[in-house]
Amino acid sequence: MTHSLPATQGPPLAVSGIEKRFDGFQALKGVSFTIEDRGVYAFIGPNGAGKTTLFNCIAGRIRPSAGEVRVAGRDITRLPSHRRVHAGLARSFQITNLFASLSVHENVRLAVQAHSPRRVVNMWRGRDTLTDVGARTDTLLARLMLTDKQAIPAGLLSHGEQRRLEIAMALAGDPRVLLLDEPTSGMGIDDIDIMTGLIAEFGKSMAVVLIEHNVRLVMKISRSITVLHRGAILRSGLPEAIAADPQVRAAYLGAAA
Amino acid sequence: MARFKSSAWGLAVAIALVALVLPLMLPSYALATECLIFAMAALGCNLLLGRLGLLSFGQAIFFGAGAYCVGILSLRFGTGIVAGLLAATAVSALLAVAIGWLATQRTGVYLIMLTLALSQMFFFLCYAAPDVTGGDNGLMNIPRPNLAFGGHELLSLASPFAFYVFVATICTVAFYLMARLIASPFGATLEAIRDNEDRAVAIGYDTRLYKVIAFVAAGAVTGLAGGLYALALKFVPLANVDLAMSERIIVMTILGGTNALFGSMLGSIAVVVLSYVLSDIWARWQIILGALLVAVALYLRGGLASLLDKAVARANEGARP
Ligand SMILES: Nc1ncnc2c1ncn2[C@@H]1O[C@H](COP(=O)(O)OP(=O)(O)OP(=O)(O)O)[C@@H](O)[C@H]1O
Ligand SMILES: [Mg+2]
Repeated sequence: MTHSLPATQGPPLAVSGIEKRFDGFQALKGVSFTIEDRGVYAFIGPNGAGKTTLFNCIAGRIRPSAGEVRVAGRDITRLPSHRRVHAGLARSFQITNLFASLSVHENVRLAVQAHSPRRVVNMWRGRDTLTDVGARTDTLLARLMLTDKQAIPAGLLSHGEQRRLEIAMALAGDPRVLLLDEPTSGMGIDDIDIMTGLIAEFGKSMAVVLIEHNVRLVMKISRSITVLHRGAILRSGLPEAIAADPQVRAAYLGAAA
Repeated sequence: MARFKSSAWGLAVAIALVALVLPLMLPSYALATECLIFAMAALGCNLLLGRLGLLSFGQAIFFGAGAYCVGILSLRFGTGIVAGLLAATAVSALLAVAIGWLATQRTGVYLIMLTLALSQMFFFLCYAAPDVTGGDNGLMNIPRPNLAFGGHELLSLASPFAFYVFVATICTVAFYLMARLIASPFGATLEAIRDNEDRAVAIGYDTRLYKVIAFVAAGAVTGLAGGLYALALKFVPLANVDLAMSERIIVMTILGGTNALFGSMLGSIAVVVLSYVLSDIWARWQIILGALLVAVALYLRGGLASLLDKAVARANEGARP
């Protein structure tokens, strides 16, 4: 069920002049960037740099104090979160956020079902009779290697599996832009390798914006790396250039000290 | 029970069976009628509390509005019974749009407080408009029209038995429709919102809209129940819109259990029969009801329906070789 988005010109994601103040504390100080094409675009930066806050502003969870967000040329700055999903913007959360008491299958099925809203309010059908929703659900479960686990409650999955379920749900509507907030946090080494492969895969068909502390992973799969530091962009460029940049090293060391 | 939960037909059959047996066990059709009417009122509350986790103290608004609607139409305009009940359902549904829209501006405790405040406002509104509602005295001597279609009388509802059959039919259909609703994709979405509203928003659901629609469905069935209650008593007391009425509906819902719709039937029967039996022997009978509710809250989270569930499971266990 690839839902058809209106044909538009603009780049997948364009963010300009985003500022966010939390009573007195300026968490974002005018962040601007444009993503022109598919691929994996990484955002790194020390703890508290404002990475998650930036995602929240883009996804609509919080309102920026100033600035503008465009998806495929469309201004979505004032759209509520749930409508941004239908504009082609999907996200996963840094802190696992699932329907813990519902089955893995139902978690994904609900995410897929959200993309056929007219049939959701049809009160005369069984919930499992939407065959295309079922087919898409099965595809996503298989792609994220969760088919074997589909019957158990999401809350009982292992940490790594929960992170994958997060992403299966985000992919449900075949988004143009996928925001992933530390998808490998707390994962074991095997799970990290699987996840790295998957993210690289997604980058072939959509723009993936990736917040990640694992620099080795980021170096391997990103088209570009942007360094956020104290609410502003410090540097942005090719992975090799960023890795060699003395100011970036100083920011990280400064934060570690 | 598990089978009944998944099948709307199964629930309809169960409700019809209860309706068949109930008059045999109770002293009057009037009492059995009251059980079925309040089962429908609790059904609306069950949708909100069981599927969405929303506790509404505003259910008396819908119940009372339905009752006033039928009362006024029947008394002043001689409206037929079907038109009167349809109007009661529609008016309550419309009120539920407003109440739902206002109450769902907030969540959690604040939502509960909003329904409570709106319920109080509605009570005083009805109290202060005696020209419409009869105020403190209520609406008296409401005629109960016979069932007619296109000027032809189909069925006299004058006898308690005939009216009971009429109510039982409507009640069965109401439970069937509600079961269809919660088994649909819409019902699945309500469960998602109950589990994690934040996540439901993040995957693209306009959760407030879903909550308001749920309020409308709950308001409609509760208003229909109120309309039937006016015809059952031939009287619309101000007590219909009292806070105590909202409490009564909530108590039935929680006592019966919210995991299954059938619980609303059990809760209604328990409260109606208990208040009938006890009010004669002891003026403070509500204390016993309170104690029962405490026991359910502490030891039987699934309500009376879960007791039935366990009994069925045990019987199946015993039947197996
Ligand atoms: N709702 C809020 N109210 C007040 N301050 C906030 C709020 N959310 C975030 N902050 C502050 O904004 C700053 C940026 O936080 P943010 O979560 O965006 O950092 P981050 O870059 O994602 O960090 P991490 O790598 O630890 O996840 C922090 O100092 C944080 O304390
Ligand atoms: Mg963060």
